[in-house]
This record gives sequence, structure tokens and C-alpha cells, in this order.
Amino acid sequence: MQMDFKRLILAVVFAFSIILLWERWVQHNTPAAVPETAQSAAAADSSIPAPMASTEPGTTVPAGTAATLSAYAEAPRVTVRTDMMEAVVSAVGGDLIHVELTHHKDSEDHSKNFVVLQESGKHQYIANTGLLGAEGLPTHKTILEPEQTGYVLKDGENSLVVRLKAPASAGIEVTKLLTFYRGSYVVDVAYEINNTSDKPLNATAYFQLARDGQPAEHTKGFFGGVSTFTGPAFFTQEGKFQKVEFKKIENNETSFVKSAKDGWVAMVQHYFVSAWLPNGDVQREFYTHKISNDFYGAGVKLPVQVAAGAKQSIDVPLYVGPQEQDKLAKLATGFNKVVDYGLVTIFAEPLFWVLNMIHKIVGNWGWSIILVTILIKALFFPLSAASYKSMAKMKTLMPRMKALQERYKDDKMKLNQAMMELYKTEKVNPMGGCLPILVQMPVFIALYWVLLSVVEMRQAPWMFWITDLSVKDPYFILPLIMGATMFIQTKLNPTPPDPMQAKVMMIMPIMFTFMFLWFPSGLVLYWVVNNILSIAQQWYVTRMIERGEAKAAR
Amino acid sequence: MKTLFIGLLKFYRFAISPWLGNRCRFHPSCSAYAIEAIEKHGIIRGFRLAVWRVMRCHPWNDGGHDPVP
Repeated sequence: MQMDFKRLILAVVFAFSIILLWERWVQHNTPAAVPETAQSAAAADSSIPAPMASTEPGTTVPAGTAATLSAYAEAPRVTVRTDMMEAVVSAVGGDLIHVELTHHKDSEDHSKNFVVLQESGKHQYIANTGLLGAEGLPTHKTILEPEQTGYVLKDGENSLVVRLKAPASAGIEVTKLLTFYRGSYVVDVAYEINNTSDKPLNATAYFQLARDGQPAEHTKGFFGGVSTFTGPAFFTQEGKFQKVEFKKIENNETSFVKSAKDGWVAMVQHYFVSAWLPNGDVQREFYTHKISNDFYGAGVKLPVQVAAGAKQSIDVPLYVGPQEQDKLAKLATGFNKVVDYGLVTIFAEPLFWVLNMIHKIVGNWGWSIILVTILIKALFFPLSAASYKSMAKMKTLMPRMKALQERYKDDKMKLNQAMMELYKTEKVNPMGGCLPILVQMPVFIALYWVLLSVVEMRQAPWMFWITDLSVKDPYFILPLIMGATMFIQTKLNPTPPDPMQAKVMMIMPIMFTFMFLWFPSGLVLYWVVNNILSIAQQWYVTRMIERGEAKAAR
Repeated sequence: MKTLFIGLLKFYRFAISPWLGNRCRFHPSCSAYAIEAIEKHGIIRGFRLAVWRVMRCHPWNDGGHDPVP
């Protein structure tokens, strides 16, 4: 038996160390890996989706002439600057190939902006669009003619429009428009189609997000193993929020609602998101596909019908920005779901709501974390209040308990049994029960996920040396305090009779301190506050019991 | 499977339980009850018994001596 325990404990300790080491190693190795983007020059171009089933057959999909991403390097560019972002639109397809956010700074270099879309660099990540269904319609590879080479949103202006003209073709004129707004992460992307021919045009417009399969910023998870989701996601009333892993696209195993009259498509990463949010009650088709090695596309197709001699435009808003939840919810149904809490969403959403409310009052996320932790502890206090009350009654039983202790001096089990019977007959019980702790666990796990997932924590300061609650404490002060509080907790609990167990109890604070060293400091802060409150509660309870005993002894 | 469940419970009793303190209102404690129940009645019935026991272990129950049936 003893041997078994020793082995078990050793195995667990080893497992933790291996997970931690492995994660460090993975983190060390991933950022350098730039995926290969060269496309096969095969006749069928996998970067262009097939037209919608509803459109007329017989339309030929243009063949790829060069690798999409390298084509951007040679083509003219249009630069756009607003109060929220700096963007680059390529003449190739009028695609959005670079978006950096001026209000969110780079994780490492705070003098640089955070880059979401980028055609080259750490990631390959673009938003491209096109039209299919008739000869001469521009796809995301057609070279368009920009009206200007640079735009700046001037003071007093609330929006600016980037126009690109498609090459002239028989009977159809197409212009692509990208409208940027002041104070907004939304870019309206539209096609204006002028059908000067004598035949109606039945076309399909596609709006897609193409990205490499590498996760964005690495985040430390609980026990080192968990990180947040990176990849495409869809939302429809029918399927609700559905994430699609890159691996599933690679293996052709995707399952999500592909045809609906509502919904949107997003590319989710930790803290940030980009998404096509088509308006209205229009039939649409969602798709994912592998474009080239480690390069995947997810998008939406919409029908465009233009009568002979008529003008028609199709417009889909594109969001590229942070996952600020109050903004997201207003843009599209279910858009706030991109903040990924995993299994504990049901607890996490109300928790964030409370956290956000407190933040609106105190104006600092660090203090908000502390207040929420106190609030939750207070909320669960009634669960322990019942046992405090019975503790007061306990003192009257002290003489009888002493007697029992005398009688069963050598048989701990019998003593326990007899004491439990005494508690029952006298209707007192100093213990809180197993259920309350089980109920509290998911709430604390949910708070953990909230602190890990929300962009509001990113580069948010607390006080003194903590300037960013989403990254590790630069001086490791909080983790060391955390270790100290855990050590105090071991001292407060009775030492286990088994010496091996006692040793493990002493090792645990050291292990946890080591694990918490690289955790986001917001999480460590929460853990520290929670531990301090637990210690205070336990100290109070112990004092109550001791007082009861002292009075009884008199 | 049975060994795995019991192993997990033993791990809890060994490494986690000391942190939470003695809090069960019953004798034997919930975790000891769960191990015994699974050993005696198999995984499905034992697990059900253990869950039912944990559900009863709250401040509004009198607790007391409650052995595995």
C-alpha cells in the first residue's frame, strides 16, 4: 500500500514536470516556423472556392497563375490610416492584406501596434473576396485599379472609402469599395456591379478569411497544458457557435452548418478576431478549405443577381479587432461567443459581466479582480455560516466528547463513528460538507478562464510593478507571495499522520510556486487573494472552535 | 477501469484532501465511502451511490454514521 502511494506521487510529480518542460520547449520552437506558402501550379486553383450550387453551371474557375501571397508583394498597394487601424489594401483582388490596431500594442515591443492581418511576417493572414459565375468577374486574384494610393481619415471626417476598379469586361462594370469608419473596427466591403449587357447576371460573391494554421500568442494554461482556440468559427441560429480546427480542415473532417439564412464566419485567436458579418435574411453558404500547405480558408458565399441594364451592390461588414465583448454583441447575434471560455461558459459569462460592472466603477482591472474574488467568497459564505452556528452549540457537548475520547483512545475509527452519532443526535456538525466545495469549484475554474481569455486584461495595469495583468509578473513577487500563502495553509491544516503524505504537503507549495512563475499575473493575483481569504476564514473557524473548547474546559 | 477510479480517489485522499481540511459531515467520509462503494458494488452502482452521498453532504443535512449499504 505504502509503496503504491509512493509510486503514484512520483508519477504525478514527473508528469507535471514533463508537461511544463514540454510546453516551454514547444513555445521556444514555434514562432520561428514560417509555413510554406508556395502553391502548386496545378490547373485547378484551390484558393478560389466553387460557385454556389444555386448559380448557373458552366462557369469556369480561373486558374492560378502565381502563388497568391507572393503576388501581393509585386502589386501596387493602397495604405489606409484611421484613428483605430493602419491597413493595406492590395491591388490584387482589392484584398485586405495588413491590419494593425493603433490602440493595441505588440506583445513584446510596446512601441509597435498589434498586427492582426498580415500577408507576410509571423503569420500569413488575409481577408480576400471575389465574384464568381460569369466570365470577366474579378476574383481575389484579379488585379484591380486603385483610385488613390493612400488614404488618411482626416479630422471632422467620419468615414473614408477606398475604391478599386475591376478591368473592363464585356457588359459588366465592377467596382470594389472598402469603407473605413471613425472609432470602429468594422470595414464595409462592397461590390458595385453595373450590368450594361442585355442578359441578367447570376453571380456568387465570396468573402473569406485565409490564415496559416499556427496558433497566435502562446498563453500559459492551467498546469501548462491548456491554451485558447485558434481557428475558424461559424455562427448560425441552427448550429449556434461552431469552432472548426485547422486539423479538421486538413483531414476533411469538418462538420458545421453550411447553409443558412443567417450567421457569420470568423477567424478566432486569443484576444483578437476577424469576421465577415453579412446582414439580413439572405441565403448564404459557409465553407472551409485548404488553400496550400498550412494555409486555410474559411468564408461565406452570397448570391448576387443583377437584372439586364441594372445596377446592384452587395455589402458585407468585416470586423478586424479585439474581442471587446460589449462591442461584439452589438454587431451580430452571437458574436460575443468568440471569447472562448471552453466548458465553463455558463458560469464564465455572468462572471465577466460582474467583473466588467465593477471595472466601470473602480476603473482598474487589478482591483476589479480582487473585488470579484472577495464577492464570490462572500457569496459562498452562507454555506459555511451554518457550521459556525453549530460550533457555538458544540461547547455544550464538550464534556461528552471528552468522555468519548477517553473511551476510544486506541480506536480512531470507533471514535469517529461515535462522534458522528453524537453530532447527529444533538443536531450539530462542525463540518461544512463535501457538496459546498464541489459547487464552488466550477465557479473558480470559470473565473480562471475569464482572466485567461478576455482581451480587457491585455496590457491592463494593476499597481506598482504589475503593468500587464495578462503576462507573467516580471519580478515574480506575486507567485512567491502565492507560495507563501500556500505554505501557511499547510501549517493551518492538521499534519497528516502518514509521513510520506506530510512530505508531499510540504512539496506542493514549492511545485505550485514554480508552476505559477510564468502565469499571467492577473491569475496569480486572483489566486493570492483567494488563498488569503481562505486562510482568514479558516483562522476564524479555528479560533471559534478553540474558544468553545476553552469555555467548556472552565 | 475500476482500479483507475479507485486510484484517482486515493490520489485525491492523499494529495488534495489534506488541503481542503476535514469537512465531511458523515462517517466514513465521502471519498472513503466512494472507494468502498466502487469496490463492493462495481463502477456504475458504486459511482451512483457515491454521487448520491456527496449530494447529501451539505450543511442542511445532519450527517452522522452512514456506511456503504
